[in-house]
Amino acid sequence: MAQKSNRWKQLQPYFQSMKAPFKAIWADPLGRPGSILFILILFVAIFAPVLATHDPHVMNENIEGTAAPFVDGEWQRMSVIGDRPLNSTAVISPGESYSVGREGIILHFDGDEWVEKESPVDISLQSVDFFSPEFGFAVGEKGTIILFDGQAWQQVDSPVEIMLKGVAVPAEDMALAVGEEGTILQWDGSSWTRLESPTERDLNAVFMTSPDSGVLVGGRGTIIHYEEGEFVNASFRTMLDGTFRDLNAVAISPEGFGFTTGQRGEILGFDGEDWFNMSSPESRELTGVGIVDADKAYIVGIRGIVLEYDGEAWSRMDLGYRRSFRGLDISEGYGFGIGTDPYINELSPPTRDHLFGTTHLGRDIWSQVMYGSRTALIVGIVTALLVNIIGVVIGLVSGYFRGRVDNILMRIVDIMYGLPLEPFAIILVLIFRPSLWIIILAIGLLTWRTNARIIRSQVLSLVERPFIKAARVAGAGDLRIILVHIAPNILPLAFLQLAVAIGYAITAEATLSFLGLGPPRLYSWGTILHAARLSGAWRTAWWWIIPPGVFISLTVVSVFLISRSLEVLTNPRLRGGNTRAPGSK
Amino acid sequence: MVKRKSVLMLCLVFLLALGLSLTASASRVPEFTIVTTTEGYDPIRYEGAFLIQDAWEELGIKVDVQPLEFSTLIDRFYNEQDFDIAIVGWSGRVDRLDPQHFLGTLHSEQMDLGGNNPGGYLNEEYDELFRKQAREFDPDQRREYVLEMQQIAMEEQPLSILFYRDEVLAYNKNTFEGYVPMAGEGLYTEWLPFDVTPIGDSNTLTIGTSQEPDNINPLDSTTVWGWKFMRLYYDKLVRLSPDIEPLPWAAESVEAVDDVTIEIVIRDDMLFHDGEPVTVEDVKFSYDYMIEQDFAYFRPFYDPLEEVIIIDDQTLHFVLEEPTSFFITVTLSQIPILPKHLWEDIEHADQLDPEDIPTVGSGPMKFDRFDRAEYKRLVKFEDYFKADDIDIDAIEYIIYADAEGTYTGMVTGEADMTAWRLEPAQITLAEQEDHLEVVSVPDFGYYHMTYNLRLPALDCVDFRRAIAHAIPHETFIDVLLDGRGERGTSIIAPVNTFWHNPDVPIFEYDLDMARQKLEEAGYWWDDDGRLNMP
Amino acid sequence: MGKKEFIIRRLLQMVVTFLIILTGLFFVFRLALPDPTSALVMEGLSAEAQAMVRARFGLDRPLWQQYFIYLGNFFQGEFGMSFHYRSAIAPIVWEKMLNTLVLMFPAIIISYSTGPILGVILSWRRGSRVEYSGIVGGLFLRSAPVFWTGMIFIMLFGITLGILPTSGMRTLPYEATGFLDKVFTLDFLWHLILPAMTIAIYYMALPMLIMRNTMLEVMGEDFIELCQAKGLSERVIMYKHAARNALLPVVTQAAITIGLAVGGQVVVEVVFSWPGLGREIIQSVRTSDFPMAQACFMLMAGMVMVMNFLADLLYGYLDPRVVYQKGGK
Repeated sequence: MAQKSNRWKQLQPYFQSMKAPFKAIWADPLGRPGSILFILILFVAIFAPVLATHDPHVMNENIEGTAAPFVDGEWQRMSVIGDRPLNSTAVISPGESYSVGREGIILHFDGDEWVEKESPVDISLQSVDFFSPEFGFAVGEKGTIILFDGQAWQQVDSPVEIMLKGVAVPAEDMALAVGEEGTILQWDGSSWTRLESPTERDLNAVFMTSPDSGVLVGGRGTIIHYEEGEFVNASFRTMLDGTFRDLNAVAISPEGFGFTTGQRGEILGFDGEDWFNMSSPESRELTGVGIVDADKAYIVGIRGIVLEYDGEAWSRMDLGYRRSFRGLDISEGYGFGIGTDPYINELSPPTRDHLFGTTHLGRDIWSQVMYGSRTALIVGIVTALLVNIIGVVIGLVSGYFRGRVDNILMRIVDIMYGLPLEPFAIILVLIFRPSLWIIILAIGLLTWRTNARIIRSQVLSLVERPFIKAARVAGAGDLRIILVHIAPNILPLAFLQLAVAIGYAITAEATLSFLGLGPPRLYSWGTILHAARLSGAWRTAWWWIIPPGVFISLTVVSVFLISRSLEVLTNPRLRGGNTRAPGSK
Repeated sequence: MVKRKSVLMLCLVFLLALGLSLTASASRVPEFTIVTTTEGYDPIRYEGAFLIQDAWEELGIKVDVQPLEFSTLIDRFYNEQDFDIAIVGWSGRVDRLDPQHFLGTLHSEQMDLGGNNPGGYLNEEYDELFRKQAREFDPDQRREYVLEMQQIAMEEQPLSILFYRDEVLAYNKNTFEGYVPMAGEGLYTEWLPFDVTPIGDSNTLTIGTSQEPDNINPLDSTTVWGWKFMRLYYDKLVRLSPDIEPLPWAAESVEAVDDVTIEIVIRDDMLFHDGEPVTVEDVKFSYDYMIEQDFAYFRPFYDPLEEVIIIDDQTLHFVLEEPTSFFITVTLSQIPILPKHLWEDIEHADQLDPEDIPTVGSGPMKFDRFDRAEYKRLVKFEDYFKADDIDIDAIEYIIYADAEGTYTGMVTGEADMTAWRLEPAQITLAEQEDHLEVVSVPDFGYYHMTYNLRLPALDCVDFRRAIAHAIPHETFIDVLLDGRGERGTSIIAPVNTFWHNPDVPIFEYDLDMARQKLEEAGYWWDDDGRLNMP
Repeated sequence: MGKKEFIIRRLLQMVVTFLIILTGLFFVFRLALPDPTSALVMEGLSAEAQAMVRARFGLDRPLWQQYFIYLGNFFQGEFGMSFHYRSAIAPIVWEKMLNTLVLMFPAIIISYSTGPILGVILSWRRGSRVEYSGIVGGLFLRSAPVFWTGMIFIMLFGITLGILPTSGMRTLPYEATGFLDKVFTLDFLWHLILPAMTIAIYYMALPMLIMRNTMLEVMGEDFIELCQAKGLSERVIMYKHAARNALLPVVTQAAITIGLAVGGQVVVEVVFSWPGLGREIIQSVRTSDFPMAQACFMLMAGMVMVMNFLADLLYGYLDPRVVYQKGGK
């Protein structure tokens, strides 16, 4: 029993000297808000997984259906018309259109707005075409075929289960559907049957100018003509002509000329007899083509590309669209371009879904900042503790024992003083792999020098005090003196140094991370800013730049405020009203 | 006694468990480390590695991604062959249009340390075809061999071609016109002095760049940037047209006299920038000197050359050791003509101090100055034999700190064109600038993921063909490259229309297909979901 | 110990420290790194070419020989050949150092002149709201990382308002015959404003706060009472006597700051594309240009040591109680 209470007694001075700092912090007009702020940030760090709204690494996608109307010769504003990507659209007449897309979505435009219609399937629909307002087909994945009879859509039997990608309906008793692996199906008025195909390549689209004539296009530059029941393979591919790129869409005018387009900005023209290469201003994927007349046609593609044909050549239009197009249909000068694939939500300013917006790869910045608090606090606290412990120990030893030991240690400190932090960390990273430990090591190795010096000078002055001398005379050993008499007295100072060190470590970690010296896939406020700078988007993406910096500042400020209130403890003259200053009696 | 026994039992059980777990893990497909570039060097390759990691981990393969500083990456990949899987890229320079170079990257001769086939691909049929195509002068026949080689190699997937990346560049359309972009070269081609015409106030074309030559010593420079600069003031016997046809240039005519002899008649109206005439002596000297100085960078080009013989004042014979299909298009178009009177006394060309390097050439532009990390300048050579075709007075280069700085220079109008590609974020911004025109130029080079074929699992063709279905090619193009690129298929890029084989097998991204193929090859999954060897 | 002895001793210390760091750096590099010739490889240089490079840079000699060659060269001002630039490092790196200094000094001078003045004002307005907001404001300035404020300033002044240049030291191209010629121009000043302002704001807070602290301390001391007894106005007392004593910790802080500032320059130079040592060392890491990285590092360490040494001297001059002066005040 005696042992225990003795030990308790031995620790008492430590507890006493620890109480004082906390009291001081809370009492101080600056220390209190500082500590509240710090606790808030700590809270954020601990609960980061809960506070984060997304996985910080995931590239977020918007999945929506969009449509851009083409009316009276002009392209209009693109708007969101559904919550699933759309794959194809068909103009029934100026003012009426249908669009179909993922998960069987069917949308109907009645002249004013798009309205979702009931769909008999929930499988992705790839293509839609109408003969009249009362007759049309849509086809899709797994051989799905649905029919519109004027009232509603119903599923009809299909002879295949292969993905169907295109359909054309020139009459009520004649239609063609095409799909992967060269699949060609024919509608004879009552059912669909599979025809023998001249190719095994994927067929992506079919366009019919009449029940007897049409064109099919597909993968690897496949072009097939349909004339009165016969298929003729018109694909051409020499070294320098033709194309081996996938063709996605085709349109032929009533006069007999037409265009097909596809991958890599490929455009081929048809003059009624032959196909020929056309110069294309784009090199990215093009997905739809629509003809107005001999001097006007349009092609749409990914990333909102719209190309215009003026009778001679194709040129890029700058309409400001960002969403990808997946299909286009123009009839009698009226049409729609629709899309879009899951659209990576890049560089989005703050929205309800993404409180701090997104990065150039669509990553949620709010979540990154939340997780970043963990790195900042862990590195900050661990490093500061490391620094403090080393500094205190060395300061104690140096100040107490003096002489040789002191000399050597202070020489080492001098050497460390010559090393600038950032270049040192850079050199370390040059030699080893970038990792969190390197950052902690670099900051730690170079920061204990100030700590040690300060502690040392305090110890030096303490050692001269009478009560130490008395203890010595009483026969107390060195260790005992250090632990029992000196250590508790430097604790406030050490605590202050700890607070300062935390602030410094957080800033240093942010700096080193900003320079790109941190490990990959680690989210720290500094790495977020690093990524912002690298992407080139930092000039305009203020939502990316401001939050991490604000958080760093707030965290460091809170620590500074705390440390300032501790300074008052070690230097009482700074407390309000204690000094005689001119003008304040 | 009891104590000891139970301790013994515990130890035995422990050892047994240890042994079991070791053997269990012994059958597992080993963890692979993919080495790639750092985010700062190339965010595309960096992100790409992580995308692949995510996909493969779904198949039960453990993957670690290790970004390395570029030179460390190159060193470990080529010189030490110390890697499991590496993501590296080849730039498509004009001299690589001839399939020789890229086909050579899978040749067994290049398997040694430092060679271009660090993965260690060895296929005798491939090697044999390589030998044949190198000697075949008939382009159509040669093409057959080249197509077949691509078929063989891509079926075995010793590497996966990830993508071909478009070079997207910008130029100021208000200051100069007439740019002719060349695949693999972008806007910064050797035809620049002849193509562009001033339409603004200045007759000096300003190029913005963040890259600069390592040095300007034609017998020492080993970088793209050094040579793009020097080829503007040095001339060559032959130039490759924008359609990659060899045009006689310093040579008036180039004719194959027989299988191994090429007769070259040089022009008689050429001068060096110091006024001295360009003679057959200089031409012969240039080639002999390259060989004598053993300039390793060009060795593949001059190796086939046995000797250069001067026939008369204007004529030379190049005698080759054996028929070499690429000699005219590559060698004659790359080796610069050096002034003999300035170089003949220099014994060790590669040890010259920067101030002592002669900068006199016979090209359309004259060297003016090179202020390291800041500025370079070339001026028009008025006495050039085609000086009338050059409308500009000078070309200057402003060297910025990084891509950021370069782009700012374009926006402010300080620079007329960029030498290097724009970053994806900058492309969108540039497209919105009124005075900038953005062009997209496909590349002959490619980015690839090469397997170290000496390692278990990676040495198995079926394994590689299966995991080829787990590489998200389309995501690289759609997301990382913003659509400006093409999915990787063959080691000869599609833009190289004559030599590219469009029918090489394509492995669609389909994890179910990958699993199916792995199963068929005998791989299986254990209870932890990890993939195991058959 | 007399002044002279103190100075000599400190100088020796400095040199020894420098040597130790230099040696440490050399060996750490040589022993821990992969083959340095890889820095010269751009996509597939043949093995023979690499051997040639190895010989040229003396990398085929035994390690200890390389060390002495390096040491000898260094003190002759010869820093070797840059792997990346393929030319001598020395001229490049001297110029970079001047560029760094020409940014660092104006900035620190601004912060260490405005800071203390503000600190004095704050101490004067003890207990007022001005003081409170001054302290908090100062802390905020010090907490915001300098690279972040730099980016914000560029965004604000350079892009949105478009009134200040956003990168570099001069608008290229420019003609300049030497360093001084390059720097004594309006164009340079224009480029200097943003980065210098950023750095100055960051470093201003600490001297301001310290000045305030020590002013408050000093105000309570006896000798101020003495001055008051002489009948001088309060203001004179404050600025002349109190400030002089209060300056001491500020100078101490300045010394520490300069040591940190040299390293901190790295981020500022990166953000502003300022062609100084900081940016150079980052670039040399990217290209694994080891000799360049070493040279930059040693120069930066050297700068820190020289600054510390000068600060020590200044400190000694200002504080009559410092060790080396016998006989006190």
